[in-house]
Amino acid sequence: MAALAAVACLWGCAKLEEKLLYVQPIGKNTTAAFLSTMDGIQMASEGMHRQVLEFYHDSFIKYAEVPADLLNVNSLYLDEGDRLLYNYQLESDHVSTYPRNVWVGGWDIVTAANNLINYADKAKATYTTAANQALLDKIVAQAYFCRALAHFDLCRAYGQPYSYKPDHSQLGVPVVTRALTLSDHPYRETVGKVYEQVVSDLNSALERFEASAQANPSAASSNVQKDAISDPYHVSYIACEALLARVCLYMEDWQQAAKHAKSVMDKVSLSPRSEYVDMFRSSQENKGRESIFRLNCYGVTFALAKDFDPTGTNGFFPDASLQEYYEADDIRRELLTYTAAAGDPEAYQGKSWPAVCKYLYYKSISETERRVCDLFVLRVSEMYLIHAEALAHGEGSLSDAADDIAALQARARGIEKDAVKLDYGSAEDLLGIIAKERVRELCFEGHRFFDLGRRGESVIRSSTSNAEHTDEFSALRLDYPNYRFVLPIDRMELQSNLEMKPNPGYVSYDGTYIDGEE
Amino acid sequence: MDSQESPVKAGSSDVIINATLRSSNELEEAVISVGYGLKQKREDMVGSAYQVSSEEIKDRPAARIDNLLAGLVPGMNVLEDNSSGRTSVKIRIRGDGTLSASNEPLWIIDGVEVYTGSKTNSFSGTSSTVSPLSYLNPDDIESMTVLKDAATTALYGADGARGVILVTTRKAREGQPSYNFSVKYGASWVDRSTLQRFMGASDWLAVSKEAWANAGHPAAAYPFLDNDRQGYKYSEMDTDWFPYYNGVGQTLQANFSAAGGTKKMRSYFSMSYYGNKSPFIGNSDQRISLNFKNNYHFSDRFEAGINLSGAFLRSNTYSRSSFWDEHLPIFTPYNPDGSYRAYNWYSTDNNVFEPVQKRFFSYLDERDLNESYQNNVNAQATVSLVWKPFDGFSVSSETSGAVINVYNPSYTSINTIANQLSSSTTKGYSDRRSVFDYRISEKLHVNYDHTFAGKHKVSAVLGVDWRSSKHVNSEIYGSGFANDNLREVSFSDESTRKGYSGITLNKSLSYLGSLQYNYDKRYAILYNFRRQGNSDFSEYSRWEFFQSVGVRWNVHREHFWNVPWLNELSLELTYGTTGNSRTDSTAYGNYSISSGNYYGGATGANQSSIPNAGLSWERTYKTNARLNVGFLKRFHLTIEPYREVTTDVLYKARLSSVVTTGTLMRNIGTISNTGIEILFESVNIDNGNFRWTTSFNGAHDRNMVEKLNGDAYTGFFDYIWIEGQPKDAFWLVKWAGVDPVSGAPMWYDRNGDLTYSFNYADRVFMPQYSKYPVLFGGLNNSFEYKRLTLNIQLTYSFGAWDYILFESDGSDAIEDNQPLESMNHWRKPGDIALNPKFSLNNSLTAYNTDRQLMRTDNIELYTLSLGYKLPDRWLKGTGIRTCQLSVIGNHLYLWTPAQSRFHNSYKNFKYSSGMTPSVQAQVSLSF
Repeated sequence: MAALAAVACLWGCAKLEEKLLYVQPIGKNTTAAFLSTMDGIQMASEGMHRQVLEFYHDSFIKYAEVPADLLNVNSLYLDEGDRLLYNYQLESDHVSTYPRNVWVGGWDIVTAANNLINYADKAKATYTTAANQALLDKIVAQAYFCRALAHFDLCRAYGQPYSYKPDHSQLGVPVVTRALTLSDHPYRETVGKVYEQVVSDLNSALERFEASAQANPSAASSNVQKDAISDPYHVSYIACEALLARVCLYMEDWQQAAKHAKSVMDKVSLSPRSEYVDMFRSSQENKGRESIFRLNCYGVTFALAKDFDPTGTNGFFPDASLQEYYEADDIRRELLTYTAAAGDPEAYQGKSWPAVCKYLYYKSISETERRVCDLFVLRVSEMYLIHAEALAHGEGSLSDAADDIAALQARARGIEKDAVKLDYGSAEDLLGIIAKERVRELCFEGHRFFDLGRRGESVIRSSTSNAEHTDEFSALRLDYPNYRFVLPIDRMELQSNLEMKPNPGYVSYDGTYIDGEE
Repeated sequence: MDSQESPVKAGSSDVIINATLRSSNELEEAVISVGYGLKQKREDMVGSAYQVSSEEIKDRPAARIDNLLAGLVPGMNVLEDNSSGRTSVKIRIRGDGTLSASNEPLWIIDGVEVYTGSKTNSFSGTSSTVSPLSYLNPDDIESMTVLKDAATTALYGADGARGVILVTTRKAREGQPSYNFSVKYGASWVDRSTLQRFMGASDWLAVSKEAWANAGHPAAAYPFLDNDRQGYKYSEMDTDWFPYYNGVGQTLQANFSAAGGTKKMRSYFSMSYYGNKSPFIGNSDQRISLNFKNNYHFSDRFEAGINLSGAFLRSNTYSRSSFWDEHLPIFTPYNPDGSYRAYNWYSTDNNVFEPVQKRFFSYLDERDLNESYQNNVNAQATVSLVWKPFDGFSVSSETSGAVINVYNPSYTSINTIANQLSSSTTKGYSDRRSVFDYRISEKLHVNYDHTFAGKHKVSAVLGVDWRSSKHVNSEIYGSGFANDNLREVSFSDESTRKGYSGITLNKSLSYLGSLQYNYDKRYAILYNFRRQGNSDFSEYSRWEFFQSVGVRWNVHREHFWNVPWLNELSLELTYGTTGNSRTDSTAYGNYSISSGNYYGGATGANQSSIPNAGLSWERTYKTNARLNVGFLKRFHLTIEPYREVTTDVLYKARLSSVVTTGTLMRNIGTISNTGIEILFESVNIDNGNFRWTTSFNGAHDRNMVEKLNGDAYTGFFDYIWIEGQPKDAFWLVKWAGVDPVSGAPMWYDRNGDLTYSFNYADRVFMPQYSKYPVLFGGLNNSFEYKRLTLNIQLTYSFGAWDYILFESDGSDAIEDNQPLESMNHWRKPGDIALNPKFSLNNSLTAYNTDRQLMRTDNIELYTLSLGYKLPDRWLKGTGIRTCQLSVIGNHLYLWTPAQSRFHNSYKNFKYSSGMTPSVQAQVSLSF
């Protein structure tokens, strides 16, 4: 009896103790609690898209263009990080710029995606209506896409190109497929392994989009359909196909690249010539018929716009040599020259000068509404180029490949496809033409440096480039292969995670050179 | 003989006077309380508790209570920083024992834990911190007790690791009523000799021209040649910037208290006003404190008491730029028409002299026109109930509630130069912050004290301690005002208005106990425990158990002891554990919704911190030995060696960015503090008319990082944490002097070879310089001659070094005034000079090199006071019982070994805004 009383007393005390230490979880959004409701999951999904936007506008697009040959710089207005990147002088120690910004930005996307994949799946047990099931599947699919995109982009930035080694065993980036904890010490997988995961994630995304469509077939306007994109600002089924096409191109899997690119081309048309410039200059009114996935920049003031702002202190402008790529009637040239608009300062009126016009502020609208051009991650023109390149590599006829290029040129120049003359005698000739067309079409959209790397080409800047060059050192050229085709792993990462291998060639944070067979 | 709680005769009636703990002579009577109803006579006490009486702190600055103890307590370092124009205080008891958790001691006032801000003493939610330790009127303090070792601090468990300071305020006692009134008025100023020394205009012009020429620029293009646009000639101007930022401060303090009581009821009442206009122009404080205590004995078995206190503070805060002293002496703060200067005209071209208009920032306009203040209200109530069912046994409950409210508005005038020049259409900026901090606590404890057969003394307590706190803050702001009178956010441009709010909740529950047994005043043994839970920690590490043991042997009480001149010889040994939970981390991870996560206008969220489930308490193992020696009934010596080892040290560590990009609290290593403290008290002369007493204390603390987990990165800008070395070991490039041939700066690279180029990678760890002093403490002398008393209190510190950054190589000779030592630079081949060839092109010869290490040895005359007690016959018939007149000086003089009028030494850096001496006159009456 006494023992029973003692036990009851102890139990009562334990209960009371719990109460005395209980703190209401208000004012705090714990991860698990936040991601246990539909609202929370949807907010986190928007947040994940924002992470992709941050990553692209903050550093990734510039990283793909600055070290390449299409941009010229005005050193006076250049940030320290941009100057170092342009002149191939970044080191592991430069933790306030690219080496760390690209790294951190990419992993933030992965964290957001992994949390969603984990918790949105768990929430399926709670929210069982067809609409909720479909929405959760869609969000998981989008998370798989974002995880794939981040791994792919990080691997392009920190790992040498896929075919750098025949067995793809060069250092890639960690493959992170779950929310990591404090005891995890991520290490770098080979580039081959990373691509494997990227492809697998994109296939998972496709499956989950299909599951979503099945769960709620009536959700016609929700990006999950195979044949149309309703909202290019969010990840869609077709975006997964398009990214797969790009990833396969990088893997030189011509067959798959052609297949996925063609699938997208069949479903989404090119923007007509009349809408081409507006697609970049007024994306608010014109989302672009050919948009597959672009990032909504509403309410964001950002770095890219400042760097390219033609009436501000812009550090970057198109290299003069770029003009030589274009015919006189090519509409795409309009995006390389800025003509002062009504709202611009007096001093600029009546003038035109070279500027990248793909990331401009809309000056006409009020300051609070002010936004820049919504960034493109994927658009159909790229699919034509991927398709053409894959065919030219033996996956189809050269004339079919040439036909894709002709379609882009015809659109750009406002002529019939038949009127486009492409002069090639061999696959090599045609590949050269495709490469040039890639520049014309996709310049400054985050492709150039990676395109050069994947084709094993050196960066050769024109004589008009303001790159630093002295007798001992010249940034006018970056020969392939070169350790500078990838970014160094930053010092803070190396110091806080001993499992992380540095990129060979760079000076380590402790002043020693990093050796390595690569 | 005076003692803590005994009535003595004074005048014709029995009154209580607040007595002094003087020296070993009073050994038997002195009673030291360590909280939870536990009291021991000093002779019976086990553990390191150092008690300071009101007498010792009565002449100290009254602004706040945390710097009252400077130089008085062995092993306690009080570090003041006034760089922003306001004083902030850091207290270190026995050195740094943690990396990222709080290093501050725990403050307990009359048994109630004081909220002193976050782990760095900052009050979250406000723009600048007015410490909650400035709410208490120092005149209400009866004694302060500093607990250092495990035997005394283990009772405070989770937060006792860095020491505990118990403040006991005055209470009423049975007897005739007594009234005290005192008023103190004085002035304070900034001691210029303690400010960094800069050049006058002619010297600066000469060296900056030299730096200009040596950088390869033509003399004809020197930027500050006289020009018409400036309105006066640079060559004829020599502005002393000091008076524009510093003035004469004033302090007024008035205090009234009344106390008295009967057998049934006792009351204490006090009110005080404190007003201070700081010598740093733009800062002032006013405080009104009220205190009421009432205690009623319902019967011999039951008594109840209430303690109400409140304080109202108004502080005008101006955080000034600490670089005012680098303004060029050729500039002026005002235009000839008296308006604030916004521009200067000078050339900015390296080759051609062409004056252009350049913005100038004195910030004087912002100080004069803007507003920033805090209203702090602090109210506290404690109800205590004591039931004594039989003798020696008591059950007590202490329930207390406290609330702090801070209203912290600031306003940037539309008339500041910056606003006037801004193209923005929304001028003026108003920010309104409000913080409420609520604390409630309940302590229940059962005490038992009894002496059996005259020899066996038992003293025990068993208790529960529960605390709950809630800290809420909100902020709104907006800009765009039509005129300065509007200034409230409601009148701002609607599109600019924004607001935030936050809440922090915490609960803690503890069980505690203590058992002490003394045998025949010869032997004592003590055991304490505390089991504590804290809601901040995850369920896996929520509870922690702390305990300590101690023994004492009073050798002089042994029957065999027969050394008449050695009146005390005792030994104590204690060991135990305490913890530190004062971090700012969460076990669960957070998602946050913020505009930075919005996408396309839709509400978005992202993870702001990842789950930190493995986090646990810091744990400190404390060992303490103590030797007390008293001889000739005049001298008393305490020697106290100790060792403290803190494991699971918390640190905001960086993890792989793949896991999380921010930093995260982690338990990363072990730190130890080993040291010795000495206290020597003596009555040098005491012949009835004249009495001279001395108290000297000194401490040495050796701090060491024992272990760091492998993946913790611990190199910082100029210091590093290495296993086997003190925390924050200097990590600098070794300076090799100036090449006498070329005047170029030279360094040693990390291999010890001479190099002409600076490289961060050449930073080496420098074990020969420690930032921790070899010896620090205080020396206090007190003289009494008839009615006159003279007190002299010094603080000192020897053997420490500090890395103090200032440039003397000419690299900024165009932008800033230059320190005096810049004169000593290389001019021609063969010169052996302190500084390299003076040039704008010098890059960073000051940064990260050991040439900037400075010895911080210093002695400060902290307090000097002279008092005179009026003869009784003069007061006859006035009703006044005593009247004391005093003159009190604080921070009067600072001495450093290398001080000079011609260069800077630590004297010029100890207080970054300069030492502020003050002199006050006081009249105290009691009747």
